[in-house]
Amino acid sequence: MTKKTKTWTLLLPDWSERDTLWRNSKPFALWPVGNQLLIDHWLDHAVENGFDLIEIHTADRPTELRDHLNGGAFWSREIRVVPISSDDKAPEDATPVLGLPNQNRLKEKISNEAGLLRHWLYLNRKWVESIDTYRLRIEVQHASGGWIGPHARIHPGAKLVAPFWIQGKCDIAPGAQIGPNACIGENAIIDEDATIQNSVVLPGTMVGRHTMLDNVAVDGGLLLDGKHGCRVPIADSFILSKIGQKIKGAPLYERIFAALLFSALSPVAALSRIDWTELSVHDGRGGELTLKTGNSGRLIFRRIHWLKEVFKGRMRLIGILPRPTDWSLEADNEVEHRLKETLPGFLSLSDLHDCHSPNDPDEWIHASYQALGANQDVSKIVRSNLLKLAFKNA
Amino acid sequence: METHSPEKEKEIADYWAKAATRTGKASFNTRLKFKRFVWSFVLGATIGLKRLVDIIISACALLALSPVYALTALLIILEDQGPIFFKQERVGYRGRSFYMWKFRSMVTNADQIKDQLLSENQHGNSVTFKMKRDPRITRIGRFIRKYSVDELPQFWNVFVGEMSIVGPRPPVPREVAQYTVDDRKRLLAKPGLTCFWQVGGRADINFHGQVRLDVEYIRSTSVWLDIKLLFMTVPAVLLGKGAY
Repeated sequence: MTKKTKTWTLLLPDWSERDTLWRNSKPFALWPVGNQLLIDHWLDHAVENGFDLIEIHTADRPTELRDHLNGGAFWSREIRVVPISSDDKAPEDATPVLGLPNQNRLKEKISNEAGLLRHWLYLNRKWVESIDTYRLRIEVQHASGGWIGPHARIHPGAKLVAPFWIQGKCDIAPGAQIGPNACIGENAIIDEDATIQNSVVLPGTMVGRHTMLDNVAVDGGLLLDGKHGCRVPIADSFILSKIGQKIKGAPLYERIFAALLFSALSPVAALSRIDWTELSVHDGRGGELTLKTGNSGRLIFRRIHWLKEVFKGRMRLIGILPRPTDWSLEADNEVEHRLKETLPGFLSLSDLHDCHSPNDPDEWIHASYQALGANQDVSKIVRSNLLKLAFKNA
Repeated sequence: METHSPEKEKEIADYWAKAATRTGKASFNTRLKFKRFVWSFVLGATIGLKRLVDIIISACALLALSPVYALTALLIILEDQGPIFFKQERVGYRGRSFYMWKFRSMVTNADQIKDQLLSENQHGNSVTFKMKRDPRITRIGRFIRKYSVDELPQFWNVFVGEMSIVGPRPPVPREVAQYTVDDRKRLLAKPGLTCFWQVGGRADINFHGQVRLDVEYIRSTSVWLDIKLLFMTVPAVLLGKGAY
């Protein structure tokens, strides 16, 4: 006799338009609540309740969600992500994911632009208050009642006020006050005499000396205030800053190759009459790059100055075409977002298809295939056509 | 926010007054960079070196043990002319699957026979399967399992980064499907060749004891603990303690 499959249908509401403060690249279900992402709490709940199949309906960046869930490998359950055009297209029996599984409700209606942020801060607060009942926990309980993750260094002069949760690899300096209701993400540094209460410090954030945070979230140098409904980028790194992001740049052999190629070609480029323009493009890491680009001639000479960026590790030798800062894609907002977050390259798959500018109407199809597809052969194809491409007259 | 003593208030006011000046900003930024450097150095020295140690040890082991590999391969071929290696799907860090390599120690149709033997599982109704005098094990297999020679090809898994030298043993997907949320904690670290329970009692420890020890390792992992565990594994392997 075959066992009947126990299915759970979830709906992740599309709140992307309400995320005007944080402007997170991830959908709300992938925002961290405590030491896991919101959707992970739901999948743990599914495991506890013996569901075999979890069907998730969402209109908000389903590809991001699918990438994170990886088919449900961590939970050993079949997880299907079903893209829908809007929330009302979800099945009637779908459970809407509004909060944590044991408190799945909105405290207040998400109306104004700070509503979503306030709701998220509320969820974090609820999680840290009920951390004692949380199951997937490798943190240990501190004498004061809060929880501390592995490899955290807490100075004896720090003041810890329960409830609080400090993830692993954090450094808490003397005189710092953590809690009540503080969530400190992995690899955060809280400097001397800083105070964190009712707040969320996202992973890899450094909070400077004498900085007091109350009812806010900080993500690197960005302060998000739920109470006043504002986002404040902090320019002074000694107040708030990002410790360092592990973004993969170009490997060493590519950088050396780029330097050699630039040295070999620059005399020829200097002699050729090329009109140069400066392009402002996305660097794939949330910042901008200024690229000196030729208006005509062979690709290798037009883009010779891009090789300097490859040498600096800010571009790849083979990647997608750099997206100008004013570039947008009306056909698919999610693809637009992800292409802007992909490291650009000196040569691309689009070049092979005679599309040399992101403004070409079909270029995004090749770029998305190269950037988002799992096909590793793309780089091989471009590499095997490297010479032909480089001397292409565009 | 709590109120401070007048001295503390003055210290805070002086700090922010200094922060408004160019020299103050420069000195605070230098201090910040130094603090970050020190902390990354501390983390690097305790856990960041783990991958480097894995590469060095696995490369040395693959080279130094090559005569043992050759001899074992020869004996396996001579016994039943079957394949030398046994490749099994295992679940690694955060549920990612990979193929773990072993020297084949069982008969070629071992998986089919296992279903008939489930009632004799030494771990009772547990999610793992182990039994003494398993009829599927070959003569050479019994010897190489006792001294863990069958596990040696896993140095390749370590070298390519799918596993670490020290870490919780990677479970098979069938086991993971039965894990509770609590049991899944052991998937929060890269799997390894040896860990606390291999050093302690190996197969004699029940499943919940294994999970508890694995979580204990994840909490306290460091390069120095890894090296210590590695040295403690050697006598456990040579004595064949808890191995069937």
